[in-house]
Amino acid sequence: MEFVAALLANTVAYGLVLFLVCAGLTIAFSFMGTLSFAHGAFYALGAYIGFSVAAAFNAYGFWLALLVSPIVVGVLGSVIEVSVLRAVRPRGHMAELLATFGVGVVIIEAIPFIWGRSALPSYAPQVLEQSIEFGGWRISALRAATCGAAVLALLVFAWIVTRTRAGLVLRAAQDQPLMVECAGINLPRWQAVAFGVSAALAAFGGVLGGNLMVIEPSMAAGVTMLGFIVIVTGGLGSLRGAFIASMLVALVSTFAAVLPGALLGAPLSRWAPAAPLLLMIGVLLVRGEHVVKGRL
Amino acid sequence: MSGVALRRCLPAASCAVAWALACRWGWVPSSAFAQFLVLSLGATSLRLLAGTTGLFSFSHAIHAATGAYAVAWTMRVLSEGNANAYGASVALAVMPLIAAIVAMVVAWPVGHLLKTRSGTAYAMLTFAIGECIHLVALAAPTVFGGEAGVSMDRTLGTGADFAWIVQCAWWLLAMIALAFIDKSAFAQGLRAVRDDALRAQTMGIDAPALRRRVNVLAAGVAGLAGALSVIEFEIVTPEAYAISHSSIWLIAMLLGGMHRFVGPVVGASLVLLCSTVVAQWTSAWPLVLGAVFVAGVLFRPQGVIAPSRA
Repeated sequence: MEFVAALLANTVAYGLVLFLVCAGLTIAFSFMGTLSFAHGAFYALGAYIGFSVAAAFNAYGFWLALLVSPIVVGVLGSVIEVSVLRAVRPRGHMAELLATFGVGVVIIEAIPFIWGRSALPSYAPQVLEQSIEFGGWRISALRAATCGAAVLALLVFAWIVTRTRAGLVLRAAQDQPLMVECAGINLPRWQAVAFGVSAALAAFGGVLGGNLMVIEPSMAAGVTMLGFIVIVTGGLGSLRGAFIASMLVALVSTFAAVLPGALLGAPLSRWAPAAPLLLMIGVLLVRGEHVVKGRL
Repeated sequence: MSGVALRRCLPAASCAVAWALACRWGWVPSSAFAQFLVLSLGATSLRLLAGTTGLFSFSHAIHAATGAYAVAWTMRVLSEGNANAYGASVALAVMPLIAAIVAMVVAWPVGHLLKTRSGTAYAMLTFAIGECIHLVALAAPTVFGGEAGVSMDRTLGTGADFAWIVQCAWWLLAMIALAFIDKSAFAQGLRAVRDDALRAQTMGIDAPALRRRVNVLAAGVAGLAGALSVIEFEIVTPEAYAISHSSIWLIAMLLGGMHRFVGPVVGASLVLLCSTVVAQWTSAWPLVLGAVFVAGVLFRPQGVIAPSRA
């Protein structure tokens, strides 16, 4: 029972981190139709910038990283939107996808150049290395804090989408971009802001996820893949779908990794990463071109 | 018409000669020539998919890995018999054909899955399927040799080494074949499907069948490219199935431009200049390549070799 509780805590923490990235992907898709290959890179960059921040400010490093890293990456995201994506957008979604792919390659290749190729140690504070009692179950404090921080970030995000002017523009532009512009709203500027926010969400997930799992250059590729699986399985553009799919993917990955047994001479846990992939292939084959357009 | 197709191979062949000379004179590492042959053939076969048919595959290089494994295993089986120099060179000469056939057989069911898909759905599906096959390759050491991979001896122990002749001959043959295909009615049908699948079907073109055929055909050429690679390096590992190889092919094709036949070959040359010449100055050459790619997407969206008229 203790073991299952630990796995469930893992699932929820992992699922929430994944959902932070996927919420970012969903905004980028529903607001400007951009399928971003760069968010895995934003995720990794968030974790690495967090590491540098934590190294500079020992005691409060981790908490400061949670604040600084999304801001830095968010600004970078806006700059990328203005300088690269905006120029490419008139040439269609495939051109945008390729541009984000190129930007992702640049960021991912820049990371080992700055921080080195080997894995970096976690910079979570001492406080979070203990475990806490929670309703009779013992849960690692880091996982609990990860869940708390992720939920907090998502609540802020939900508040922005549903209660602020920015969210109003976002939801209006999803349906009637032309009408929004006719109403005198500078849509390109909001698009730059939206892409920045979506990059910041991924970076926030990176600070949490990097400490939860591992901080290494290859962390970007895994998240790019899983992010795609999640938003396609959940239905492109749908936040609720992305949340359900994040949790599903986290559940499948966490539990498949500890399954006993073997297949084709390899332990079953080595096949575990294939489960979410098969999920996505199934969804794509059944729903095909119609996986697009849910509601935010 | 045959003359036109042959003439279009000339610039590609000149690129190959330039790389051969650069290797001969020691400007670049000696394996760069074989790498050029593999990358240029792979990128040109990807052009048939992405450029001619509008199907952007993010995992095209997996077929090269399949072809390479087919060659490695066949050569291992052959090396158990008593080979003489003559038999060994004949065996080596037919290897790329075997690789192409195996890659096409493996691609057939995948082509069936993909035949009704295009655009972003196709791109994401190939991404997922490629990663799945990569996982299978990593997880099944009996077939794919685990991390050590499968190695072979291209001379079958006889010491008769015709590797570069075999490579050049098959590369040229494949390029000429691709140039012919590019001028054929089949390719014209593919372009119609790319531009407007519904209109093409109304005209009596069977779009799913054409997509399936071009998937399988391009996979065959990619398998041939994989054979050229394994003939050079005499080893293939599951890492060959990694998405990064397909990304390099995609970058080479887009950088060179997919509107002209020679585009991907030029793109392959640029990518290899990065990975060989720039790599001598700095280990951050992938960063340089990525930056060049982004600059290309921004400022030369048609590629370095742009179409002659808009």
